[in-house]
Amino acid sequence: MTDKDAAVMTRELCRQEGIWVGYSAGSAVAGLIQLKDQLKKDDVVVIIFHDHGTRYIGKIFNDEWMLKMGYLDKAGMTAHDIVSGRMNIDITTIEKHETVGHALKLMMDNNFSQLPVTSDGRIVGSIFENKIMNLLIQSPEKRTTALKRS
Amino acid sequence: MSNALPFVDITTPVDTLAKMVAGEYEAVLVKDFKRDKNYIITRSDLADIMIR
Repeated sequence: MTDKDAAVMTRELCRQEGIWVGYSAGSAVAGLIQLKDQLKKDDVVVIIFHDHGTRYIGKIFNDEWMLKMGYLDKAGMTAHDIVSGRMNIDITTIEKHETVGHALKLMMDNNFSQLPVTSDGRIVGSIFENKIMNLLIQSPEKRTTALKRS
Repeated sequence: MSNALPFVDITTPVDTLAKMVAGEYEAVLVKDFKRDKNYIITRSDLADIMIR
């Protein structure tokens, strides 16, 4: 069994079972799965998880470290892997009655290049920094126009 | 105001996302039905992944 097998299994234990354990626990489970064909139906296997995941936040539970080590295949990555670092941050949106100028300021302040536009909280459109800039260069007076009319 | 960005499920593979933002869309919205939350993945996010 490789270090990669252990690291990937450690993450899977957390993701699938809600068990936040360390590297060697993942290693033990990965090893057991590799040995599964040698077990009989009535065999009982006990694995002791002797450490926890807090020691591995910067490693196994860090996507960048996993990628750097070659443990995280891009082919197996999903949208979840990309947004996992911001699961508790709400997406920034802007209501359609807000002005073009306010939208541009919001984007500049937060370094956003696009924003979803909402109507009563429901996403109904989007705006893009480059399009807003072009609009205001051509028609500066539209700074006070509502997004829904831009 | 432009059309809304497309929604994808949070289990959508990165390869599919990359094709979407490399073409028609500058970003996609991600829906996590279990947590009832939305996220955004931009072309820049995908570029960060692809160059590693």
